[in-house]
Amino acid sequence: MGGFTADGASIRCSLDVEEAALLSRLMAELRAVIEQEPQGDPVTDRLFPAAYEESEDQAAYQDLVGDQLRTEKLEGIRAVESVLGPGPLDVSVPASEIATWLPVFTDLRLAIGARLEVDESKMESSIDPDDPDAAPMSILHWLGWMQESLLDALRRSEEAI
Amino acid sequence: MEETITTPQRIEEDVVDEAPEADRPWLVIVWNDPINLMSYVTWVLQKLFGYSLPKATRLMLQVHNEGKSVVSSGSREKSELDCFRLHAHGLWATIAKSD
Repeated sequence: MGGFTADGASIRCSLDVEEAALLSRLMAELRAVIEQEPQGDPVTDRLFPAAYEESEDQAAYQDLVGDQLRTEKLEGIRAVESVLGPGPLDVSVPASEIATWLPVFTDLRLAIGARLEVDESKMESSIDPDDPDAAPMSILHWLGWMQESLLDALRRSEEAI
Repeated sequence: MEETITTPQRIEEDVVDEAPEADRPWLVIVWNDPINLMSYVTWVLQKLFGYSLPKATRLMLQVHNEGKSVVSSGSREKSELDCFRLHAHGLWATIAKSD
């Protein structure tokens, strides 16, 4: 597993069987929560945060942008899903599409973080193997590492142009 | 925000873009969250607002260290669009009326 690397105008990544399966599963779970938007759920609250404190203003904002926000997030998921499949997998994405990918990795991480109620100290401490959240926490850190490599590959690709 | 290591980049001059307070009555505020990567927040601020790397980094660090930062201001319509784009990128943003 080497994360994303720049290769000319493309960004590449090799995913093994487990990584490809994990990403596919995470995408499906994220899509489900965005489509269903369960009310009062901390994941929904984090993916669709309130813009205004005042409830009347917030309702108007929600009416204005809510559908578009959901549509954009789902389009991002579809873009990532379109190159996923059973691993091992060599993914190659045009660098110009990475701007669509990055928010998907963010939404995946926000969803896990909100579900686990992760705070700064939990994020910074090493994973306790006895913690019942050890497995999702390691996924959260893996996704962060993947997103960092994606940002780094994008920067290198832009510098090379 | 999660700590990330960034490599030094070239310094660019910030474009001075200040208007009288009365013309910019609405503020868009980005709040600190434990999940978003520092490098990602900087990238989003550059991409959405066209800020130079130093300016985007300064705003990101203000969010990280002080808990929040005003990242844009203007009419209510513009602020709602800015806030929407930040939400589309997973940043925790709110809109407030300037005092």
